[in-house]
Amino acid sequence: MSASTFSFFASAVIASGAALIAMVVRQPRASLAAFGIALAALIVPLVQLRAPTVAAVVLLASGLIIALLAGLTGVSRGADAPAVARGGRSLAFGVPATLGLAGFVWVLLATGSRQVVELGPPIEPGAAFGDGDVILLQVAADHTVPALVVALLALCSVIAAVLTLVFERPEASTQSSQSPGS
Amino acid sequence: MLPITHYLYLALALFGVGLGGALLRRSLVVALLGIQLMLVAVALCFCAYARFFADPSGQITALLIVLVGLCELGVAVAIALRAIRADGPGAATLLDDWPSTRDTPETPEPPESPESGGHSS
Repeated sequence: MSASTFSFFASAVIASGAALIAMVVRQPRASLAAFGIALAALIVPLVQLRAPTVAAVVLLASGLIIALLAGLTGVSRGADAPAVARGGRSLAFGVPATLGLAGFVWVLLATGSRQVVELGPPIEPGAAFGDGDVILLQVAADHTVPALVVALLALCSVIAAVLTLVFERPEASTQSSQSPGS
Repeated sequence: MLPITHYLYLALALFGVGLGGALLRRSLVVALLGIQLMLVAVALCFCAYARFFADPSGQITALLIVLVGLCELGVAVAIALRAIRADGPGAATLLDDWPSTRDTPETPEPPESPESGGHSS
Protein backbone atom coordinates (compact mmCIF):
# COMPACT_ATOMS: atom_id res chain seq x y z
CA MET A 1 0.00 0.00 0.00
CA SER A 2 1.50 3.26 -1.09
CA ALA A 3 1.55 6.42 0.93
CA SER A 4 -1.14 8.07 -1.18
CA THR A 5 -3.45 5.08 -0.80
CA PHE A 6 -2.90 4.98 2.94
CA SER A 7 -3.49 8.70 3.30
CA PHE A 8 -6.67 8.48 1.25
CA PHE A 9 -8.12 5.67 3.30
CA ALA A 10 -7.10 7.32 6.57
CA SER A 11 -8.69 10.60 5.57
CA ALA A 12 -11.77 8.81 4.27
CA VAL A 13 -12.24 6.97 7.55
CA ILE A 14 -11.72 10.16 9.54
CA ALA A 15 -14.08 12.16 7.33
CA SER A 16 -16.83 9.54 7.35
CA GLY A 17 -16.53 8.92 11.08
CA ALA A 18 -16.50 12.60 11.95
CA ALA A 19 -19.48 13.24 9.67
CA LEU A 20 -21.39 10.42 11.31
CA ILE A 21 -20.55 11.77 14.75
CA ALA A 22 -21.64 15.25 13.66
CA MET A 23 -25.01 13.91 12.63
CA VAL A 24 -25.52 11.67 15.67
CA VAL A 25 -24.26 13.68 18.62
CA ARG A 26 -26.81 15.86 20.39
CA GLN A 27 -24.66 18.78 21.52
CA PRO A 28 -24.54 21.44 18.79
CA ARG A 29 -20.98 22.45 19.58
CA ALA A 30 -19.81 18.85 19.38
CA SER A 31 -21.60 18.54 16.04
CA LEU A 32 -19.85 21.64 14.77
CA ALA A 33 -16.45 20.37 15.91
CA ALA A 34 -16.98 17.00 14.26
CA PHE A 35 -18.16 18.72 11.08
CA GLY A 36 -14.99 20.80 11.02
CA ILE A 37 -12.86 17.68 11.42
CA ALA A 38 -14.75 15.97 8.59
CA LEU A 39 -14.21 18.84 6.19
CA ALA A 40 -10.58 19.18 7.23
CA ALA A 41 -10.05 15.50 6.49
CA LEU A 42 -11.56 15.99 3.05
CA ILE A 43 -8.60 18.15 2.09
CA VAL A 44 -6.48 15.04 1.48
CA PRO A 45 -8.65 13.50 -1.29
CA LEU A 46 -9.21 16.93 -2.82
CA VAL A 47 -5.48 17.58 -2.99
CA GLN A 48 -4.95 14.10 -4.41
CA LEU A 49 -7.46 14.99 -7.10
CA ARG A 50 -5.32 18.05 -7.86
CA ALA A 51 -7.98 20.43 -6.67
CA PRO A 52 -6.14 22.59 -4.13
CA THR A 53 -8.33 25.58 -4.92
CA VAL A 54 -11.46 23.62 -4.07
CA ALA A 55 -9.76 22.32 -0.92
CA ALA A 56 -8.92 25.85 0.18
CA VAL A 57 -12.45 27.05 -0.50
CA VAL A 58 -13.91 24.07 1.37
CA LEU A 59 -11.64 24.81 4.32
CA LEU A 60 -12.65 28.47 4.30
CA ALA A 61 -16.31 27.50 3.96
CA SER A 62 -16.06 25.11 6.90
CA GLY A 63 -14.67 27.91 9.05
CA LEU A 64 -17.50 30.22 8.02
CA ILE A 65 -20.13 27.52 8.58
CA ILE A 66 -18.81 26.75 12.03
CA ALA A 67 -18.63 30.45 12.93
CA LEU A 68 -22.17 31.13 11.73
CA LEU A 69 -23.76 28.15 13.43
CA ALA A 70 -21.76 28.63 16.63
CA GLY A 71 -22.99 32.21 16.71
CA LEU A 72 -26.53 31.00 16.15
CA THR A 73 -26.19 28.49 18.95
CA GLY A 74 -24.80 31.14 21.26
CA VAL A 75 -27.61 33.55 20.43
CA SER A 76 -30.25 30.92 21.06
CA ARG A 77 -28.69 30.09 24.40
CA GLY A 78 -28.60 33.72 25.43
CA ALA A 79 -31.96 34.64 23.92
CA ASP A 80 -33.13 36.02 27.23
CA ALA A 81 -30.18 38.35 27.50
CA PRO A 82 -31.08 42.06 27.44
CA ALA A 83 -28.84 42.84 24.46
CA VAL A 84 -30.64 40.38 22.22
CA ALA A 85 -34.03 41.40 23.53
CA ARG A 86 -33.29 45.01 22.62
CA GLY A 87 -32.13 43.98 19.17
CA GLY A 88 -28.44 44.27 19.96
CA ARG A 89 -25.80 43.36 17.42
CA SER A 90 -24.43 39.91 18.03
CA LEU A 91 -21.53 38.05 16.48
CA ALA A 92 -23.88 36.14 14.20
CA PHE A 93 -25.10 39.48 12.90
CA GLY A 94 -21.68 41.03 12.48
CA VAL A 95 -20.12 38.14 10.54
CA PRO A 96 -22.61 38.07 7.61
CA ALA A 97 -22.84 41.84 7.59
CA THR A 98 -19.08 42.22 7.39
CA LEU A 99 -18.84 39.49 4.77
CA GLY A 100 -21.54 41.16 2.73
CA LEU A 101 -19.83 44.52 2.82
CA ALA A 102 -16.46 42.96 2.03
CA GLY A 103 -17.94 41.00 -0.88
CA PHE A 104 -19.62 44.08 -2.24
CA VAL A 105 -16.39 46.07 -2.08
CA TRP A 106 -14.53 43.20 -3.70
CA VAL A 107 -17.03 43.00 -6.56
CA LEU A 108 -16.73 46.73 -7.13
CA LEU A 109 -12.94 46.63 -7.12
CA ALA A 110 -12.74 43.51 -9.28
CA THR A 111 -15.13 44.94 -11.82
CA GLY A 112 -13.04 48.05 -12.17
CA SER A 113 -9.72 46.27 -12.30
CA ARG A 114 -7.90 44.99 -15.36
CA GLN A 115 -8.19 41.34 -14.32
CA VAL A 116 -11.71 41.10 -15.62
CA VAL A 117 -10.87 42.73 -18.92
CA GLU A 118 -7.59 41.00 -19.77
CA LEU A 119 -7.94 37.25 -19.82
CA GLY A 120 -4.40 36.32 -20.74
CA PRO A 121 -3.29 33.62 -23.15
CA PRO A 122 -5.68 30.80 -24.10
CA ILE A 123 -5.55 27.68 -21.99
CA GLU A 124 -4.76 24.37 -23.57
CA PRO A 125 -6.89 21.41 -22.48
CA GLY A 126 -5.23 19.48 -19.68
CA ALA A 127 -2.39 21.95 -19.26
CA ALA A 128 -1.54 22.82 -15.65
CA PHE A 129 -4.56 20.95 -14.39
CA GLY A 130 -5.56 22.02 -10.90
CA ASP A 131 -3.58 25.24 -10.91
CA GLY A 132 -5.52 27.99 -9.20
CA ASP A 133 -4.57 30.62 -11.74
CA VAL A 134 -5.70 28.39 -14.60
CA ILE A 135 -9.02 27.76 -12.90
CA LEU A 136 -9.64 31.42 -12.24
CA LEU A 137 -8.70 32.27 -15.83
CA GLN A 138 -11.05 29.62 -17.13
CA VAL A 139 -13.83 30.95 -14.90
CA ALA A 140 -13.35 34.35 -16.44
CA ALA A 141 -13.00 33.01 -19.98
CA ASP A 142 -15.43 30.13 -20.37
CA HIS A 143 -17.73 30.24 -17.36
CA THR A 144 -18.47 33.90 -17.08
CA VAL A 145 -22.23 33.62 -16.99
CA PRO A 146 -22.44 30.91 -14.26
CA ALA A 147 -19.86 32.75 -12.18
CA LEU A 148 -21.80 36.00 -12.53
CA VAL A 149 -25.06 34.28 -11.64
CA VAL A 150 -23.55 32.71 -8.54
CA ALA A 151 -21.91 35.99 -7.58
CA LEU A 152 -25.22 37.81 -7.91
CA LEU A 153 -26.96 35.07 -5.93
CA ALA A 154 -24.36 35.37 -3.21
CA LEU A 155 -24.65 39.13 -3.09
CA CYS A 156 -28.45 39.05 -3.05
CA SER A 157 -28.54 36.37 -0.36
CA VAL A 158 -26.16 38.26 1.90
CA ILE A 159 -28.13 41.48 1.39
CA ALA A 160 -31.38 39.61 2.08
CA ALA A 161 -29.90 38.10 5.22
CA VAL A 162 -28.77 41.47 6.50
CA LEU A 163 -32.12 43.07 5.66
CA THR A 164 -33.93 40.22 7.37
CA LEU A 165 -32.01 40.92 10.52
CA VAL A 166 -32.27 44.70 10.37
CA PHE A 167 -35.84 45.41 9.42
CA GLU A 168 -38.96 44.21 11.14
CA ARG A 169 -42.53 44.20 9.90
CA PRO A 170 -44.88 46.57 11.76
CA GLU A 171 -47.44 43.89 12.57
CA ALA A 172 -44.71 41.63 13.87
CA SER A 173 -43.36 44.36 16.09
CA THR A 174 -46.81 45.12 17.50
CA GLN A 175 -47.45 41.45 18.11
CA SER A 176 -44.15 41.03 19.85
CA SER A 177 -44.74 44.13 21.96
CA GLN A 178 -48.00 42.72 23.27
CA SER A 179 -47.46 40.30 26.05
CA PRO A 180 -49.17 36.90 25.82
CA GLY A 181 -51.06 37.42 29.06
CA SER A 182 -52.63 40.75 28.08
CA MET B 1 -3.83 8.11 -8.87
CA LEU B 2 -6.36 5.96 -7.11
CA PRO B 3 -9.35 4.68 -9.09
CA ILE B 4 -12.19 7.14 -9.34
CA THR B 5 -14.52 4.70 -7.63
CA HIS B 6 -12.73 5.26 -4.33
CA TYR B 7 -13.60 8.95 -4.39
CA LEU B 8 -17.13 8.26 -5.56
CA TYR B 9 -17.69 5.78 -2.72
CA LEU B 10 -16.40 8.35 -0.23
CA ALA B 11 -18.71 10.99 -1.71
CA LEU B 12 -21.60 8.55 -1.57
CA ALA B 13 -20.92 7.80 2.09
CA LEU B 14 -20.74 11.48 2.98
CA PHE B 15 -23.90 12.21 1.01
CA GLY B 16 -25.76 9.40 2.76
CA VAL B 17 -24.66 10.56 6.20
CA GLY B 18 -25.66 14.12 5.40
CA LEU B 19 -29.01 13.05 4.00
CA GLY B 20 -29.74 10.97 7.07
CA GLY B 21 -28.86 13.81 9.39
CA ALA B 22 -30.90 16.33 7.42
CA LEU B 23 -33.96 14.08 7.36
CA LEU B 24 -33.88 12.43 10.76
CA ARG B 25 -32.77 15.20 13.08
CA ARG B 26 -34.98 18.05 14.19
CA SER B 27 -32.22 20.36 15.29
CA LEU B 28 -31.75 23.19 12.82
CA VAL B 29 -27.98 23.20 13.30
CA VAL B 30 -27.63 19.52 12.48
CA ALA B 31 -30.01 19.78 9.53
CA LEU B 32 -27.96 22.63 8.08
CA LEU B 33 -24.76 20.69 8.67
CA GLY B 34 -26.27 17.72 6.87
CA ILE B 35 -27.18 19.84 3.87
CA GLN B 36 -23.68 21.30 3.75
CA LEU B 37 -22.22 17.80 3.97
CA MET B 38 -24.32 16.72 1.01
CA LEU B 39 -23.15 19.71 -1.02
CA VAL B 40 -19.51 19.00 -0.20
CA ALA B 41 -20.01 15.38 -1.24
CA VAL B 42 -21.39 16.52 -4.58
CA ALA B 43 -18.42 18.86 -4.96
CA LEU B 44 -16.09 15.93 -4.31
CA CYS B 45 -17.86 13.99 -7.06
CA PHE B 46 -17.34 16.84 -9.49
CA CYS B 47 -13.65 17.06 -8.58
CA ALA B 48 -13.24 13.31 -9.10
CA TYR B 49 -14.82 13.45 -12.52
CA ALA B 50 -12.81 16.55 -13.38
CA ARG B 51 -9.62 14.65 -12.63
CA PHE B 52 -10.87 11.62 -14.53
CA PHE B 53 -11.68 13.59 -17.67
CA ALA B 54 -8.82 16.09 -17.19
CA ASP B 55 -11.26 18.97 -17.45
CA PRO B 56 -11.16 21.73 -14.85
CA SER B 57 -14.80 22.58 -15.43
CA GLY B 58 -15.72 20.12 -12.71
CA GLN B 59 -13.57 22.00 -10.21
CA ILE B 60 -15.24 25.24 -11.20
CA THR B 61 -18.64 23.65 -10.67
CA ALA B 62 -17.49 22.40 -7.28
CA LEU B 63 -16.45 25.91 -6.33
CA LEU B 64 -19.83 27.28 -7.36
CA ILE B 65 -21.62 24.55 -5.40
CA VAL B 66 -19.72 25.38 -2.21
CA LEU B 67 -20.41 29.08 -2.66
CA VAL B 68 -24.13 28.51 -3.22
CA GLY B 69 -24.18 26.35 -0.09
CA LEU B 70 -22.67 29.21 1.87
CA CYS B 71 -25.34 31.57 0.55
CA GLU B 72 -28.08 29.16 1.56
CA LEU B 73 -26.58 28.82 5.01
CA GLY B 74 -26.40 32.58 5.45
CA VAL B 75 -30.06 33.03 4.62
CA ALA B 76 -31.05 30.12 6.87
CA VAL B 77 -29.10 31.55 9.79
CA ALA B 78 -30.68 34.96 9.23
CA ILE B 79 -34.18 33.47 9.24
CA ALA B 80 -33.40 31.49 12.38
CA LEU B 81 -32.06 34.58 14.11
CA ARG B 82 -35.17 36.46 13.11
CA ALA B 83 -37.37 33.74 14.56
CA ILE B 84 -35.37 33.71 17.78
CA ARG B 85 -35.63 37.48 18.08
CA ALA B 86 -39.35 37.48 17.38
CA ASP B 87 -39.69 35.01 20.26
CA GLY B 88 -42.46 33.09 18.53
CA PRO B 89 -43.93 29.84 19.74
CA GLY B 90 -41.46 27.70 17.82
CA ALA B 91 -38.39 29.79 18.51
CA ALA B 92 -37.63 28.12 21.80
CA THR B 93 -37.48 24.67 20.21
CA LEU B 94 -35.82 25.75 16.99
CA LEU B 95 -32.43 24.36 17.87
CA ASP B 96 -33.56 21.61 20.19
CA ASP B 97 -33.55 18.04 19.15
CA TRP B 98 -36.38 15.55 19.13
CA PRO B 99 -35.96 13.83 22.53
CA SER B 100 -36.82 16.91 24.57
CA THR B 101 -39.37 18.60 22.34
CA ARG B 102 -41.46 16.05 20.52
CA ASP B 103 -43.60 14.73 23.33
CA THR B 104 -43.75 17.78 25.55
CA PRO B 105 -44.80 20.76 23.45
CA GLU B 106 -46.47 22.54 26.36
CA THR B 107 -46.10 22.25 30.06
CA PRO B 108 -49.51 21.50 31.62
CA GLU B 109 -50.68 23.80 34.34
CA PRO B 110 -50.79 22.30 37.79
CA PRO B 111 -54.25 21.45 39.10
CA GLU B 112 -55.79 24.03 41.36
CA SER B 113 -55.93 23.16 44.97
CA PRO B 114 -59.13 23.92 46.94
CA GLU B 115 -57.12 25.96 49.47
CA SER B 116 -56.06 28.45 46.84
CA GLY B 117 -59.54 29.91 46.46
CA GLY B 118 -59.98 28.95 42.80
CA HIS B 119 -58.57 32.18 41.33
CA SER B 120 -57.22 31.74 37.86
CA SER B 121 -55.66 34.14 35.38
